[in-house]
Amino acid sequence: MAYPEINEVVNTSEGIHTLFQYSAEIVPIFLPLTLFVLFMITFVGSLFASNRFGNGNPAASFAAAAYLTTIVAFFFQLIPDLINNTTVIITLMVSVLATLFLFFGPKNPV
Amino acid sequence: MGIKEMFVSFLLVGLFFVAMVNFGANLAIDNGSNQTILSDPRINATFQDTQAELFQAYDTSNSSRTSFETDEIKANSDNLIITSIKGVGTAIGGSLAGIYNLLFGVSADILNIPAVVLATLTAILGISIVFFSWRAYRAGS
Repeated sequence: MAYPEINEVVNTSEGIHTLFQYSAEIVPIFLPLTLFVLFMITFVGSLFASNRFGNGNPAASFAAAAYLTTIVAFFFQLIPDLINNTTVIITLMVSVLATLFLFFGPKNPV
Repeated sequence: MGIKEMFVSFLLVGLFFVAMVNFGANLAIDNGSNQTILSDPRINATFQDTQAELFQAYDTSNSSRTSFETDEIKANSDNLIITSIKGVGTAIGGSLAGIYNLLFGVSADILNIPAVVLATLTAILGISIVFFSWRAYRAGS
């Protein structure tokens, strides 16, 4: 068998969080990839939605996506063994970079 | 972007990082998690360093403002005029600092504003007063 199945390792009576812990254990990249997808959806969605109304600002969209991703990463970290500390640090650093870009980037919206 | 804006932006980015890490740590504590983001030694070290730097900025800004106000301006023929302008700058800076202390000094305890936030705001205010006074010396307005 390639990997242990869910009914072998998970005791779901402990709580629903065991399902997420199982997915994180079997596919370690799953939750970081989920965070990345959340970031991209928020960034691209915010940018194109604001472009439609003529006040698109890539720096603001990037910052909003980064902040949301970091907050979700903090929530993920509440569950033990769900997310790597390295992933949380990366989301935190992306937030700081986004803030820097917001302050020092071009001020004129697209 | 001027040097004052750059200084203020860097201070605010540092304050933002401290605020985000504090949010993560408080979220874990409030929800009874046995691990917080500050359990990681890398984040903990960076967080402590950033806080120390923000407090250092507050100390430096305060001492810079004090030494700027007590500095003796040496000039040849315009000494009296420059001294007068310096007095105006010092008076306005003092009144700004007084109003700031009135607003934040009293309410900080009531609102439980963290010391690092007050330190950052005070550093920004101190540097702004210095640059404002220097502009008054240079351009007269």
